Amino acid sequence: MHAGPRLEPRLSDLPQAPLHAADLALAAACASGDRAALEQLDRVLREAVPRAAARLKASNAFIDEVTQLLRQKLFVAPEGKRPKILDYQGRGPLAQWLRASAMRVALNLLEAQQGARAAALDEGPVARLHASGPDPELSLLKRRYAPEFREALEAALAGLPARERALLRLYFAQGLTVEEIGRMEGAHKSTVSRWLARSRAALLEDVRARLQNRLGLGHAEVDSLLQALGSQLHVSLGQVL
Amino acid sequence: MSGAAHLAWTPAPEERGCPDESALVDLARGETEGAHEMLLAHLDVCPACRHIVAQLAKESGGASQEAREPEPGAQVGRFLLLEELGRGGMGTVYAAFDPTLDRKVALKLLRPLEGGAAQSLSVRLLTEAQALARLAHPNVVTLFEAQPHGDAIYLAMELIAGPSLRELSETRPGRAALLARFVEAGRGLAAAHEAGLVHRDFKPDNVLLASDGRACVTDFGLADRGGALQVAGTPGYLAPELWRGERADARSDQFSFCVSLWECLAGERPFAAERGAALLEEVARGPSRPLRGVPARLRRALERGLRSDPRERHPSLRALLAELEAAAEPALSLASARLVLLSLALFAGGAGSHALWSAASADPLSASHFAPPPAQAAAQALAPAPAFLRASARAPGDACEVVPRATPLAQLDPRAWHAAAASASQPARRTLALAPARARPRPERPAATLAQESRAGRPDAGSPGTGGGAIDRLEGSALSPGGDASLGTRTVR
Repeated sequence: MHAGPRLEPRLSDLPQAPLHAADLALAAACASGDRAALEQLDRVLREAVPRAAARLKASNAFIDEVTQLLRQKLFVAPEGKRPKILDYQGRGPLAQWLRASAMRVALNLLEAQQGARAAALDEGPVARLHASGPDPELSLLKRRYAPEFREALEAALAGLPARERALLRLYFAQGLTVEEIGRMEGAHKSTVSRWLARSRAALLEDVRARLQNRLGLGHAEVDSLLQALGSQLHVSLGQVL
Repeated sequence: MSGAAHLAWTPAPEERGCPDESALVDLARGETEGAHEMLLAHLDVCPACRHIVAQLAKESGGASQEAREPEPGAQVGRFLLLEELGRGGMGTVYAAFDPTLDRKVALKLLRPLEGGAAQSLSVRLLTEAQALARLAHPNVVTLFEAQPHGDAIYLAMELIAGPSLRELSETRPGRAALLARFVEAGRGLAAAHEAGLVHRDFKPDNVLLASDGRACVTDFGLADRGGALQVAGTPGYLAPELWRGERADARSDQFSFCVSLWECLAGERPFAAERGAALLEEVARGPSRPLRGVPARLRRALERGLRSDPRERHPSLRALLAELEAAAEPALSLASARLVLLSLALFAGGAGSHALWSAASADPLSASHFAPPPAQAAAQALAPAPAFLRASARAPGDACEVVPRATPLAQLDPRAWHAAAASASQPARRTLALAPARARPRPERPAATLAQESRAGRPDAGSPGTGGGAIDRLEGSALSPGGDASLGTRTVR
């Protein structure tokens, strides 16, 4: 369970991606128990954890617990495994990797505390927003067909390729921008826009067909319904995704 | 664990086959290699990994238009920004964590000021903030501290869950409940006036209900940022004298208060025009739109508050509040009269002493607690009366205190409100969901982080970075007609 020998083959295997060599060296030094390195890592950790955890639960007790658990996870090897710090490969900055790890620990802890991961993640997308004066007729239409619309939307979503659905989720439910998604996907934001638009159009088309089928409405009626509902597609998506 | 292990994601059994964090970091940074599609497919089914990747992707971005805006996760003073709640003309409001006191606060970051006047304006802002901080009133949002931060200023305030009075009014809680909340808000506003502060942007969006149900005035226009040509505030609520270029004072708040109450009662504002000369003309003529089904005295009280000449309005907000509360009293006498008649009828029928007692009772509804048969009948006879009558019948002196019993919605716990909004009023819920941009629905938001201070500041539909383009992100135009109002309701040229 020692860092040195395990680290070397990995170093030689590392890909061409820009390497955060100093961070990697720090991690390696920590794994071998270097005291100064551990102290430095702990400073990074104490900054990373609140950023990762406070958004899930704003409480010092929670942050402290996540910090403790993360330290344990990083440096204490479970039976037959190596300590997690050795998973760091120097690809992204160490601080970012630590934040990701802290979020994971925090999510797991939250789940243990609250019983359901969903509780923290899926709460209140609807909640925070404002109202505006709605057009009463549209509202009626929306209210009347909202369940059918939602059902059709869910079914249509299920029919999309996983990748498209994942991107829609990131955009509509997680609130990433097309730029941010573009960076992940190595694509220009306008490309991402096009993808999303295409997925959205496909969804709408599918929803239209399902509604027509289900409600026995004429084309024009479905059209006006979709016009009313479609403009809210993003909202519905945010709720369904 | 060597070789190509770093390319693949290594399912860790204790984490349900989730990829390890390096893979998530890679994905968020756009540096994945082989496993990209697999990772995306995993994100599709795993909310936890989606959360992690989304947070990382937001952090590692940060360039472009929003370079100067602190991101969630950033440190401001001792506060850790958690998420953005809304933005307005003056700045952005975040939910933030205060580790020192171990609590959540609302943190309003006021935009860096520009130009030569910036320095003195900052001083004034801070001075006014100090005045607000000294003003401890249950119906005014508590300001914890105000500090310069770089060239900006931040205000740390009580985090109030909401809903706003506007949202409350859309659940049709009944007139009594609305009136009660408005009277509370009015008390907060009056206290501010008595401390020498003017709100400058009172409107239904700027009054939030705390989790204990009290109405809380937020978003004090801490300083009049305008030069001569600038009117600060929200068109539609601004008093006519401000359009004439005069300074805001307590009486202009009174005007805004009356517009707000009128709007929540009637569903539309008293004047069709929102700004400028058209508004001045219309105000001079008096409200042309109807305010149906409210006691005449209440309407008269509001009309007086809406006079064009500030001197003709109520002498103070307290005077207006007294009128509003008194306006409930005719309802009491009506209810009492019905009770007396009913009692007399019963008396004639031979239920003598009870009826006499009822007739003498000043508080007809409390009669039901004693439950003598005739009084019970009387209470039942009252029951179909509108909530407004019932409420005022309970406690003529202070409608506020009794309304919660008459109308459960009035005593809102935000969760109850959301439930109510969802079930009782689908349209309200739907419209609620019309997220202002940047306030795109984010599933990870805790419920307690409803838009706080600048609900006013409906974030603009085309908020930086949303790159809306082909995607119909928001019904932005429908949400906020009149570009100006949508971008920052607070500053209107």
